[in-house]
Amino acid sequence: MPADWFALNPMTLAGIAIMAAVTIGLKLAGFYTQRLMHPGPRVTRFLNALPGTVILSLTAPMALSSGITGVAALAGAVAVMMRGGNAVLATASGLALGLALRHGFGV
Amino acid sequence: MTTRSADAQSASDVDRPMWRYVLARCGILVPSVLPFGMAVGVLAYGKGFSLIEAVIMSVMVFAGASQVAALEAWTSPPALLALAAIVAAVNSRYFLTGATLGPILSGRGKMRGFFTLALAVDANWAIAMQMRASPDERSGFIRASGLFLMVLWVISTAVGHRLGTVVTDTHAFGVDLLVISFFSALLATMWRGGPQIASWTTALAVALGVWWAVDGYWYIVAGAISGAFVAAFLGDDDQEASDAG
Repeated sequence: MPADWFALNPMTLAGIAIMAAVTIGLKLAGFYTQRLMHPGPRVTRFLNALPGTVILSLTAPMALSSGITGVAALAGAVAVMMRGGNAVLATASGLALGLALRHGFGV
Repeated sequence: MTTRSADAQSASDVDRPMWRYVLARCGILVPSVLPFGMAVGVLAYGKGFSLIEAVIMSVMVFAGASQVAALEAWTSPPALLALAAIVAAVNSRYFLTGATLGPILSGRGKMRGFFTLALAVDANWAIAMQMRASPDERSGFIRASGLFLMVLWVISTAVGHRLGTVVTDTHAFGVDLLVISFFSALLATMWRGGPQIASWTTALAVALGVWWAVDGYWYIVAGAISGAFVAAFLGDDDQEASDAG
């Protein structure tokens, strides 16, 4: 068995443990915060709106970083979805459009 | 309202055994998870991780973008505080994930809640928020799909570690485009119009502005919170009713 398969370095494990603690800690902090707040109508609207605004804030810069192909993928997927397509078809269409531009036109 | 919620229960999206529902909703993600996980494995190998260390990281952290960012900044021995800051910045959106999952987890036991939170990632959380199902079906979906994605994630990390110096060309295969298309299709299903116009425009403007002006991943939280604030103060009951439906 090669040496680099099962070697355990304490400092590497400490680094991994910190990364894991921060990640689950953020989720738990969010969970307990909303529980202690006893959300009223305004906070409920805030939390209801979050899924959409998180994904929008995550996706739009991602699309711009990928350039024209990224924006085309976004537009393609949204267009297919809005015309009654399902999520898988819309995702595949966005990908196909972006890949066609990337390899067909080199953009 | 009673009729609406009764309709919502009878018309659950989970119309088949959970594992088949998970495959139907998450199967499309396989081509994007595998190369991404392999990239993490390749990076970990380059930073001197053993195979078992790379696997432990992918199981315990289970958050791809933050693993890539942390590995890129990895020193030997690791600078623990810097590592914590990087992971907190990239994963700050998970605070919002935990908050939005609260309503479907409350009163269902600590262990179940913990594992649901641990197994929640962007993709299955987004699907669970958008799917029409009971709270238990939603949290069950997150655990089942999270386990499915974690198995893929760990296998691809291990394969990537073994590939070592070979760097997969994720750009040519359009992995970025697949992720963008997946989230864009979800956005389209979440679009209700009306009062959402103001909150989504705000989120978009703030996210792009912060993304352009500030290094790192703060744009996600900045855009999300500012947009949701607008919804909190401008929304009306019609908005809530349509969100619930």
